[in-house]
Amino acid sequence: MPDSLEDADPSTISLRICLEGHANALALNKDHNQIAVAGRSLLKVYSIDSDGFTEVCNMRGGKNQNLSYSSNDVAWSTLDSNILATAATNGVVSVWDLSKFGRQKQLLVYNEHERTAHTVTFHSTEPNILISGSQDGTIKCFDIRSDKSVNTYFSNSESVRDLKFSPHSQNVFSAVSENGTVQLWDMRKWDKCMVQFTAHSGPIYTCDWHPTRNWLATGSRDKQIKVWNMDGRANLEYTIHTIAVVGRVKWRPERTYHIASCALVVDYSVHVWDIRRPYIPFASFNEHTNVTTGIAWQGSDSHCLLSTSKDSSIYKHAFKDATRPALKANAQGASLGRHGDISFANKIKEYAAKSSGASNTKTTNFISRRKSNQPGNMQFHLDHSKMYMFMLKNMASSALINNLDSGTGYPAQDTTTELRVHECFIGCAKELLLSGKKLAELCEHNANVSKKYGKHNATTLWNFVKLFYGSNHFEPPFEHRSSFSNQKNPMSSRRATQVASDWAPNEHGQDLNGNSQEVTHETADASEDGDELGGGGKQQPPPTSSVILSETQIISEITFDNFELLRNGFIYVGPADVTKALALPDTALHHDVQAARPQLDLKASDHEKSPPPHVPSILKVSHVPPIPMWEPHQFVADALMLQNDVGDVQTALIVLIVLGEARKLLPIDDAIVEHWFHTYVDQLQRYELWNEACEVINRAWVRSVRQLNQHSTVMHTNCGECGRPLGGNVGWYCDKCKSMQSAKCSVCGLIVRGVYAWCQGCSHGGHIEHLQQYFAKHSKCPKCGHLCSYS
Amino acid sequence: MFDVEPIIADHKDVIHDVVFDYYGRRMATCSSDQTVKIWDEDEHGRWQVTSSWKAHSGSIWRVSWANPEFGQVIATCSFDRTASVWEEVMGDKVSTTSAPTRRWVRRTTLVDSRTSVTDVEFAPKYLGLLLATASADGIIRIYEAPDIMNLSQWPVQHEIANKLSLSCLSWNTSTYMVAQLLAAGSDESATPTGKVFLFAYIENARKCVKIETVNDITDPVTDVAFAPNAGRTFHMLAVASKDLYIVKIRGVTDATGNSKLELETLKFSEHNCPVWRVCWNMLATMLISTGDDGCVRIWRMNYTRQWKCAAVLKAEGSGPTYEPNPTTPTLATTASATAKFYKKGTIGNQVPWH
Repeated sequence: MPDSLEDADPSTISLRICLEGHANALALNKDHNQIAVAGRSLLKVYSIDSDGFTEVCNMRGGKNQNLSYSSNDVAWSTLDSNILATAATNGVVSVWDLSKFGRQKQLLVYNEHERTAHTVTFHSTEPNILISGSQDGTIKCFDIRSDKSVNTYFSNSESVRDLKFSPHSQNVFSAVSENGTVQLWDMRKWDKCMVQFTAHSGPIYTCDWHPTRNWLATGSRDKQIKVWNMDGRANLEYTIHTIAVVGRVKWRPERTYHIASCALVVDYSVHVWDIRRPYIPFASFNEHTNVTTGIAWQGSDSHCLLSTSKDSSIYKHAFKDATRPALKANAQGASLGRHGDISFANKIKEYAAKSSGASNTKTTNFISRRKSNQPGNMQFHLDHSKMYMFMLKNMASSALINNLDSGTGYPAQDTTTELRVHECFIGCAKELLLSGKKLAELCEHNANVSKKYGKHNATTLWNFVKLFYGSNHFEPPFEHRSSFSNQKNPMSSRRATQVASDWAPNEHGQDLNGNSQEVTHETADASEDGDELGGGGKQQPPPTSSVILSETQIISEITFDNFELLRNGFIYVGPADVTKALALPDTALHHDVQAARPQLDLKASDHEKSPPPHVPSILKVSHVPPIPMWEPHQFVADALMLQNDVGDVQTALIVLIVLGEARKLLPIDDAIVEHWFHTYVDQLQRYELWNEACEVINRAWVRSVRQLNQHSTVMHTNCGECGRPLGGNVGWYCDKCKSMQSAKCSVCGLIVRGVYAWCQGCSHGGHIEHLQQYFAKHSKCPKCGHLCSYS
Repeated sequence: MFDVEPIIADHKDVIHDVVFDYYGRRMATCSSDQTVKIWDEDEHGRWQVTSSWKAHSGSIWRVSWANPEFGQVIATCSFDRTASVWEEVMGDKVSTTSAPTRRWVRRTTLVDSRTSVTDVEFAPKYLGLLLATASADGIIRIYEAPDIMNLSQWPVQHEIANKLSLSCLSWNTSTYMVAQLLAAGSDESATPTGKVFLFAYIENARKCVKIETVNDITDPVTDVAFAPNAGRTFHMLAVASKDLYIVKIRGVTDATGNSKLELETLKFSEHNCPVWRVCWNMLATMLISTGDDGCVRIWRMNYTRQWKCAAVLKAEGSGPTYEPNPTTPTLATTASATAKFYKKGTIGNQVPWH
């Protein structure tokens, strides 16, 4: 607890008063330099200094501890700094004189209330007049020159909780009571109140007059603070919803719209509200560790708030130390939708404009922007949010733009495609083939699908897979061996090249199909480009493995097509260590493909071998340092891991599925594969692609994934007769109405054996073929006329 | 490119949270005006409020959707120190022909917190129907509905106290290597210590404990979000603070068989202003972050495993304008809401080229 902070003025100071008993109320003297604190066994006066509180007087110093001193409220005379009054729990109202010599400061004791006195207050101009309100429903007026009450006002309610003299008219005071009514009394008319109205649905515990306007604020157990305009008939101006029962309210001086409140229970904080923004406090003081029972502003100083609490401490809060809940609150909300749409809510801060009403002219905006740096100009009460939906334009139109742009001869920098990940995902999920064809065909198909959705990297990966594993027949995987594949290899690789060149871009309007010379040329250009782009990226010695050819072509295509994407690193092919090899492509391409091809020795242990012995060694370039071991399986595995790391678990997993038995060659941890399966199934289900998810589950070789499809489904059925839920243990027999009606077909009336279709809405159904026929002509239920939607 | 459409939310105060449901078909907003609104798309694809109700007696900070397996259930948390669980129920049929009315019913109010409840989030499905709340006094509470058919019973399972006040939390949906990971951020500005904490359920102790503090982030944190499960071998936590951070969390098992977390913190200062919110897309391939200046940035990971800002979006007419970078021409402030879409013109040297 910070006892004093001397570096600033004003600063928050606090004092722990006593250990026993707690404070119930506080009051300030007319000079605002002394504070009186009253409580169950407590009545003390402190002087307020800049660095702390100093005890001036303890009126409970004596031994005579009787109940009449257990104070509910304390008031300080508005004119005489020595006169105090307290209201006690036994109904006694006492007047104290600080100037009295000796320990006994009690001046007068009025024992007139029959029950607890809740409140006491002095008249603002008459120094001798004070009034008190009690649980017995009466208000009594005392003159300290006499030892009896001068007047008694009967409020006709069970209890008067608070009284306040109006600062606007001499003899008027307000009284609030537990039945939720507010009364205005003229002191001189003791028989009948001037105004009475119901303000709250629950007991009102407090009220306060606005210092300048004719407003009365009331606080109630219904957790609301209401501000009433008392000109003429009481008119509700503002309502503040607080989080707890309102114990006290106090208007903030110098600030027309600010009011401080504290709660009777639950909430220990003192909140300062801007009544124009009734939902969130403007400022909060959270120092107290128990319920705050008394609050007061230090005179007309709007930066000092005094408070006392059941935690037996008094605080002088400096306003600058208050927390500002609204500033701490998250000012924005944003969420990404399934279609890549972004919904975004943004807090709009309004700033005070210089004597200009219209705030949306340019000049005003400019001024307010300038002023935004200065604190205090922010218009707290005008804060609001604007909400926007950023919607990705749909594929068709963006594709059109794309075409137009490429028509001009320069690559379209279309980020939209890049951001349409969900469309790629859904499209690929639907179109990628998992099985049913030869591996090579699957790969080719899938490569095309990936290409269609702009996943160049996945396309490349599919081509790799096809080149590595495609030409071999894997079913059954362990029989077919290299002699056969060796013959086939050159052809298939040529075909791959061909395929690759098919994809070569036509950005210059040339048809490059089949023109491999041209392609190679392009390739060289492209890779040079690539090097430039890399900004002096590492130049690796030329590799011998030139599966790279097709890759390079793809790269060249990507480079030209999506220059920007490539530059940003969003297009990239293969794992990092292999693409170093992008430099000069060798000319002896086709032979190399064979060399680089992994020998599909399908014993799992073999896959770690370096390129097999029959690689044509002539192709090795002499100045190359020893070629690192090239492990194709590891390479594919790395590629899959990369795909996955960038968020494309789809490609990674489907490659694995398509590979079939060959996946066992890839050094990928089973746990990861299982993780991939679960992830992908989750993603499919999230996009509501149930069939695709099901297919993936069925293809899974991981047990925990296959089990996903074996979860049982629970159907809740109702009896078609009485509408009650069927018990379930006896099929369609209803326990409630003792009938088997539900088992019968609503159309033909016979008991259904086999497939039974029914409407979840009205619980009627029957033979599926009958229903089909029936709903072809009708739209309503044959039994009850319910609008069953049969599809 | 993006179309921007202003949405008339009709919230009377600041909107604090906007959340799509699991499938992205529904949307919930909550505001300081103490109301929650549920939005559905109409047949023209426009978002319409289908339910709106006063849910708390204080500002509502966050809203969270439960997995649809548990029904249409949301949780809200508020300045009024409570969190509530709401379920959408079919009302009574007015007639047999009209669709039954739907309304949201309060199932429970969680009143354990003594201070403002700053965040609430349902746990991923595999943990069951679990709910975590963070409060301003630094306590994380994890509630569980043991019977998913009875949403009125939410006993507290775990209570983790922290020294710093908490502003946000996020569950990790991925289970790879680390199970039941929970991250929380603190908006405390007084102390220069780490502001993001990781909690996990420890089997031996049978309780949730703090297992790690991200010491690299010392500025007040306003939002944290774990990337959805995307099959990665590491976990990614986006953190909104003075800057945007992405924390990579890798579960490793050391030689002695103890598992621990390896953290790597990446900082992105392109916003040049405090970041309020972070949100991932469903596939965890995209991250958006929103800055105090009203700019939304879209981030993607490129093939060198680096996160790059792919786009900057700004809805115009939203208060003080902001120039994203000196090269972009100053935009005339227009009253109408139009999206300005900034393409990153230049690229820094942060992408190493292999």
